[in-house]
Amino acid sequence: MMRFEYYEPKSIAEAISFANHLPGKAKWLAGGTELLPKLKQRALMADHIINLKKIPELVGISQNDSAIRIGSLTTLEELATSKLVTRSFPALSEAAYGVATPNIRRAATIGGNLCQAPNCLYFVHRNLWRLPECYGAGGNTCNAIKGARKCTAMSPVDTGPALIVLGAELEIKGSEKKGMSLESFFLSSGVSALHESEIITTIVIPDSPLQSGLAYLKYSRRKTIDYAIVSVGVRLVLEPDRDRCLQARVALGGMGTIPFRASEAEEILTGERITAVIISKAAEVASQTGQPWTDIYASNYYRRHLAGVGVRRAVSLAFTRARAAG
Amino acid sequence: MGKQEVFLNVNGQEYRLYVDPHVTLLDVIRDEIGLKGTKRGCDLGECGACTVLIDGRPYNSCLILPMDVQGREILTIEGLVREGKLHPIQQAFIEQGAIQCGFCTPGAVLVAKALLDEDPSPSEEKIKEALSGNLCRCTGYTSIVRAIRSLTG
Repeated sequence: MMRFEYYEPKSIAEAISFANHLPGKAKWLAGGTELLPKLKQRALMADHIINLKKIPELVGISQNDSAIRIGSLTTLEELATSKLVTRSFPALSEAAYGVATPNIRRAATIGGNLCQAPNCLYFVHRNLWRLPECYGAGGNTCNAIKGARKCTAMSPVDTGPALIVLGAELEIKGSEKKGMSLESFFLSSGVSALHESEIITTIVIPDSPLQSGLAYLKYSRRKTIDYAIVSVGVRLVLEPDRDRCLQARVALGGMGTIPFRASEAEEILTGERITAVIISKAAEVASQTGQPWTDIYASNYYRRHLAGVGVRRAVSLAFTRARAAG
Repeated sequence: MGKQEVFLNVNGQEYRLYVDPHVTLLDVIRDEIGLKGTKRGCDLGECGACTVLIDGRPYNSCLILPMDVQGREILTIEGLVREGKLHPIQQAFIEQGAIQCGFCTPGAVLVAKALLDEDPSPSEEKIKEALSGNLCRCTGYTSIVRAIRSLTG
């Protein structure tokens, strides 16, 4: 692995002061399951590594009046098994449980999962293969798709669609405090609204309304150690009569460079009685949104097909769960 | 800044070491302490060959910096042997032919130990789930699962 200097701040303020004052490139170390392999492969470079694991306030899941607060350094295993999360948002546990392998989930953190680098072999191996610096690395070419005008790598964030439909908000600390919805956090492949000297401190999930149902589905070639080809998150809120849909949120991963909401599909579901016909219509519309690329994992056509199947199944599941809720 | 002083507890023995910060726990166990049972497979966290138990739970040692595991109990495959006798899990792997080339075996045995310590009679599904991060390129999964099942109540 490339050499770096190592720092262990004991507080968020100290960590940010390191990031602001160290010369050269500094990177945060959370679980290390993404950063360390990328440093070994020379896909990411760093002169300084700032280990956030010794900052106690970044870890843990708690509940206050109207929200569940998840510290950004909470591991994916804890998220997958926490009673608070499995009881309130089972689909979020399922999403966390779908990431990588048991060993990796024990170390990887939710904050790190949201900040993953582009999942593109040409990005990861560009130095080994002596390719020109690509968009993902700050260059101005794409080695995967000739002629592309921007980075085409799909963002692998598995927990993204589940958190987006839950309306998750991020609390971020840097020189000042700021907050934003997770939806507006992702900007383009591997690029987020987080500046290099900022830290996501907490992921806040507002309580879901009564009679709501959540579903998350991930499609990948293998059950473990694999990124999603397509992932789908759906949350439906039903009218008190439990028949009509009051609010629908549908989020897709793998259908573009970042996870996003399929708002056209949401509009089709909103205000309607949830029937097989409406579900199929929403699925059809959702499958035509986004801009999936053909890469070594799946073709554009197959991604669209999977998104349709996924939305149909996830909406049905969310509807069943919403009817059973409250 | 240079080398960091770290105190590691590996297989019940305390080690005081000076390591470069970019050296992983795997490298320290193999090259500094000299325990070669922990294998370097992919070195990227995908294969599970470098699995060690930290406070009884399996982790990929290739993805851990030694500074993070000071004061915790690290168990490698060498730590399973007691007074020259193999651990029952190791014995079961031999009896069931669960070792082919042997490269994934230390990781698989340690995952099995963590699983059986937590749940003495896991279902087959749970065994497979626990092993899902350990690649066996000889594809001897059936006999590995059989070896673990032979130990369940």
